[in-house]
Amino acid sequence: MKKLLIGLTMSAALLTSPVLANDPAALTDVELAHVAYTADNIDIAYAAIAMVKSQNPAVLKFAQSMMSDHTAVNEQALALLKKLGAQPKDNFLSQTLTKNSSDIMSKLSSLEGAEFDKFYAENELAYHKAVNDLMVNAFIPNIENAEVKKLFKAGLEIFKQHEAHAEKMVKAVNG
Amino acid sequence: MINRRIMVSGAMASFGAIVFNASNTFAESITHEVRIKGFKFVPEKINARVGDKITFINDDIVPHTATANDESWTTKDLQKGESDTIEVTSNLFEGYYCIYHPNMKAFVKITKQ
Repeated sequence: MKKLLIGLTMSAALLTSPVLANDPAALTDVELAHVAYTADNIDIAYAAIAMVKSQNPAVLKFAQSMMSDHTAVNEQALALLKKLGAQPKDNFLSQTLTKNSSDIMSKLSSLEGAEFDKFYAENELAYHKAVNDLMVNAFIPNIENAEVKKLFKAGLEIFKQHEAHAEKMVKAVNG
Repeated sequence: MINRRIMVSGAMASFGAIVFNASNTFAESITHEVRIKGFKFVPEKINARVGDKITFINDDIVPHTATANDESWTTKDLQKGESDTIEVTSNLFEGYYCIYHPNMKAFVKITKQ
């Protein structure tokens, strides 16, 4: 259950944290763009490992989908920032995501076969749930720029699809 | 004995027949448009005849495909804004989906000519 807790605890802790300096709702648009880019790259990295390690067709299809979708969202995000003449800005949340992801990457690297598939699938579900929760409750309501908000809303619709797909994948690897 | 008048009118009749048949054939086959938007094929069900074409256009920002459920036909990977066209043959597998997003399902009903 540890992997589920990583995602959910992070999300819950960040949302209820009384420390204003670390409030995800206080992130600026350029910081949020950095978070989105970081979160996408993390999922792309997880998917790359899965595509090498897994033999499970459900896992491989999901991982392929993660690579192509998160790459596409990143391209849109970078194009928008370029259009707005802005640079993504590093921040506490990107750093937290990056730090947590390195623990997950170590774990993914150490597992094989069915154990790998189960961990990957459950982590993907937890990760997408946590990020979608942040998108809905902390990010989207606080974005100032209309185009950035539109992109995040489009991203949320995509990541909700991913969450639903991840649920199916979890059933497939456990069933 | 064949006189010139008969030959000319015969030739004209043949030409007319060719033109009539050619335009009749082209008029019968049409191109259906299926748009991919919000992780859905729109429209989800189409009726098409053998010889028709189906053009798939991706309106989403993520890549999609239209791929037969039995993998017997597929579009290329459609990036945002891209399109690809499939010809409707008599043995075209009717159910299809997106290989990246298997929840996306749609159907081509092949009707008789």
